[in-house]
Amino acid sequence: MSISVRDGNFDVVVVAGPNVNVWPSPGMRSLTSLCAEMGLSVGVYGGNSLQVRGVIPVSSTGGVVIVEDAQKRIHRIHARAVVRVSAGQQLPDPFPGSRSEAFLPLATARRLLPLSSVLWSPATIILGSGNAAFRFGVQLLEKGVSDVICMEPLSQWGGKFFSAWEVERRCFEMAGGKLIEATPVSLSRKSLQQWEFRARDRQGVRIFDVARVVAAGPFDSLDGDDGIREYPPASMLFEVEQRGRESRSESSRSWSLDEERARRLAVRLIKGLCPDLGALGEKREKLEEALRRSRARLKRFARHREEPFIPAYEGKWMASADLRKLRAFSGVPRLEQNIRPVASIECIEEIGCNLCEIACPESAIDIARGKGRFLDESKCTGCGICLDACPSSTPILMHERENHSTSLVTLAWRGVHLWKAGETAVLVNRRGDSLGSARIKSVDTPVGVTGKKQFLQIEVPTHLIWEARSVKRPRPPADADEDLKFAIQSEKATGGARAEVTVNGEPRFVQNGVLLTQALFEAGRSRPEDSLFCSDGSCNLCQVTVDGAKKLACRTEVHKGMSVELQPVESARSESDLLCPCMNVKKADILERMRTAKLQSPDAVAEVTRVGEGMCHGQLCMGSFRRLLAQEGVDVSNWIDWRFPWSEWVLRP
Amino acid sequence: MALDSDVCLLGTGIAPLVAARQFLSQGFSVLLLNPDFDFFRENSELPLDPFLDLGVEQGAGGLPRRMALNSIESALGILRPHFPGAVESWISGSNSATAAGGRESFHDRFAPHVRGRSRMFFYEASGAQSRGGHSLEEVFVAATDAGLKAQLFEGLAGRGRFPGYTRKGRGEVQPRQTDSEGRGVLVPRLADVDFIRYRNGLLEFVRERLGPERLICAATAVEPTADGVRFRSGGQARSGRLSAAMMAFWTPRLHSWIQNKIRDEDPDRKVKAGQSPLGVRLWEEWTLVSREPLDPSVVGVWGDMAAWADVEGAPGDGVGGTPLYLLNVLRRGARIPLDVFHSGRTVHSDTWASADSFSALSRLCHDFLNWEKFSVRAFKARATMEWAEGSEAMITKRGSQRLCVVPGSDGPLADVVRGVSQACEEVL
Repeated sequence: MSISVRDGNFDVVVVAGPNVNVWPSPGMRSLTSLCAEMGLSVGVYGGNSLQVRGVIPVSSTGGVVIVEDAQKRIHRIHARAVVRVSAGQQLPDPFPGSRSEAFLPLATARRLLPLSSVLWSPATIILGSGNAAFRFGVQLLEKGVSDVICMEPLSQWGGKFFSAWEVERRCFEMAGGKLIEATPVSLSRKSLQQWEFRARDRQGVRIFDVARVVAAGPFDSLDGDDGIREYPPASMLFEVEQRGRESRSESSRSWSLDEERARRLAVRLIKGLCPDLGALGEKREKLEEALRRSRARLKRFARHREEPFIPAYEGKWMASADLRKLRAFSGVPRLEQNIRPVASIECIEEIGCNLCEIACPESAIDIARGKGRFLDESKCTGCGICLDACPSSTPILMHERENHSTSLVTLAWRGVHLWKAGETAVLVNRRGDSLGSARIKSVDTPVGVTGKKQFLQIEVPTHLIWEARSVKRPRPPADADEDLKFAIQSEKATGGARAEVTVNGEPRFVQNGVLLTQALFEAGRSRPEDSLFCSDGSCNLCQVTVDGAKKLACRTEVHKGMSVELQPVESARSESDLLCPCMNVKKADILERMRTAKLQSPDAVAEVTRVGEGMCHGQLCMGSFRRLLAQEGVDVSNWIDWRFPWSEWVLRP
Repeated sequence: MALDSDVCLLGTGIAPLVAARQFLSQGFSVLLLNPDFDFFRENSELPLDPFLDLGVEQGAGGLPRRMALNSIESALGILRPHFPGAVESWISGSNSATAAGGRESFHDRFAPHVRGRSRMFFYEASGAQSRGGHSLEEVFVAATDAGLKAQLFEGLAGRGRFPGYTRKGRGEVQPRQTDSEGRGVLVPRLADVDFIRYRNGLLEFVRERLGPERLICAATAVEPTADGVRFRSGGQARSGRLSAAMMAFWTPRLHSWIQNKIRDEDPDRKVKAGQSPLGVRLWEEWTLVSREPLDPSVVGVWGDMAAWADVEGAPGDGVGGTPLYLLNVLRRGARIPLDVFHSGRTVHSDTWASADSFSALSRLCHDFLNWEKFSVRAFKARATMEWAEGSEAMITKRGSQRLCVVPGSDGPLADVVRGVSQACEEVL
């Protein structure tokens, strides 16, 4: 019996860390093409067929990358420089109940969302107020969940209260979501499907009855740097955090950011690895230009934090100063809306999104560098393509009929409850407050659009045309079983094939053909270990015994007659103060060690406390660990945990 | 000046901490400089002496001497006087957690442990294990010479004592023919140490005594001068006068600096053959997940690997006395010339986690321990300097200033502490 090992050599190797589910990302494509253009040899490893097991730094620069292919052969790639792309941390600091089955990281929640039988009502709380949190909140609201709350931990941000774009927050609030500022206190079971979530706000402890709590990483910050780490310094070992977790149209900002960072890193790599930059000739100018552009763009991405647009309200009405600012904005029409329907792109903050510009067939929208959006209203034909392109539903078509009592507004609508022409709707402002009633004049389904999306042309009282930006139904469904009804409807729609399986000896009916992890959530038998629900089986936590053989629940499909045995959850893992549940390390232990020995580097603290050496290899605890170190004054801004391997690695002959 | 001291110590691991503690206990003032951010990055100490033949010319008494030095009593005798607190002991077969008392007596839960475990050296009859180990007869004679009561085991009786060995691995089949072959020698009461806790305890003590002004990490451009030392820290140039000496502890990370200093002090000087490092020895510490609970009382040596149940503190100190499932495997890797190691021109098939490593692990787990598969939980890459037998500290002089370069500042912890202690005595 032998294990096949092959050696290889590259100048630059780009590798995917655990849980990176879009691979290779647009940014890494840019990086590899730029490096290759400058004559460097580049290897890209990741995905299901080439699983990266880790990097072993060597004494000089670079490291040895260990990769396992689909045939279980091991590849040892010696690289002069290594770039690791890592998935962002989504879990908050532990609190009582944060290891319960109701608590999900955003990535898991996204994967469970299409599953009809997973309940999200009566309420779902999302910890975090970044774009991803708001976007998921909107998805829940569109799905019919009546109560969705985004919670921002107290004092998380210095300058700006919420970290997301104003357009995302607006979209969330218009859809009916609520925003509060509070800190989680505890999560405990109330009934089979209901949990009691306690959170402390400025007035005291508030209690929420929830179905799920979703951790969306309230840490989506640029932190003043370019998001590229190198550790140890001058080692040519880099880490870039991948912000995008979904398609480009869903998360344009993340992918744009990813690309700019990658270009910037590519320039650093080329300057570090190419012995004679002068010999590059014209290519060098191109390189410098790429660096200048990425610097400028990265600066622009951070600008919405430095110069936020948070409109003030006087009752239901936007404060006159802010409304004047809005109407003076270059993306908003000045005159043409009085003659015919034209687009209004009310996206004041300078954000890294240009989907409307790309989509516009008339080139009426231009995002000038450093000057925000600009709408050339004379070119706008009112086709509405920008309404479809914007994931935040920010653009509208407006026709302000000055001599009429009503004007026309066309907006994009997504949701399970579709509208019909002639229906009466309640108009809402940009904050989700009711403004009065209006009539749906016409309903269009855009050509080529998948999913449930409509363009609604609404007759709006003319005096409300600058306030009304969405609609809701006059009597919102208050029935607590709405989510369940929807589940049943969806199930009918999808065929709802069921299979009987045995879970710990008890018969259960679950959807046939879905992943076992999903089925465990559906059957209400999920364990805290299942919550990571990684896309690549890298965390190795969700091990179950299926028909006598050990398997990973996230990689095993349900079939009829399957017998599943779940491993018992260790009681020690339910303790609230545990920072690293695998190694049974408490926050207090870490603090004691750090303060007594005055440890100064993250490596030292990790070595002494053994945090992250357990089964999950730090996937549950490293985010909290980093924050704890930062609170204690240890510099973690550039620290990269290079411990090998990144996840449990099973070797067979 | 604020940094004027008797002694300046320059090093990256446990060695300068041991020296600092020794000088402080004798009333000297100490300035401790570390080019790294902390004392945990180089990590070139080993918890035990694997007794693998390192290719160094050793006298006839080499192995018995090493055995004697690594007995539990000897190791405690070396380590305890140099540690500013309790060093607890755990000896397999006894129920005591300290040399003085049973489990009911006082225990410091962060104290380092010296564990006395039996060492099983196993040899296959076919000679299929990796090259380089001492022969069974050599080990038996050396253990007897060292006063340790070694026992011989034949076939399964010996193999069954090896940590992680299972007969269930292949579907409850009868033992293979080769399972009943081979011989082993069991040497009792050899020591292994929690070197992370030892290092941390020393660091706590030294940092408290010296304070941030005199224990300086991330020190750069360190230069001995005629009457002291000059360096940069926190972006500022700093200096201090020394009244006794400067000591540098020769580990792979400081190799270039030390070579340059020796050359600067005396360009014509040739380092004596007995004082030159032979190269850098690579070590791999793998942590594997066992399907069966592991016996913590035995450390197995097979071919060029030593294996033991991973435990922190005394076995059974975990949550509810959780059984041990992690098997640590320390494997001796290749020896690489120093200039190649530092230049980055290393032929990468010779570095860590090479084809040889995986082949050796596969032989150990699949062929020897009878595991169907194995999971790697962790891996630590280490590098130690390899020295000719009898290497001694080198002392050079510039003006009134002495620079003492101490070899053997990495490797098995007990050896490091003993070597540093001797070097300090020489300097004094």
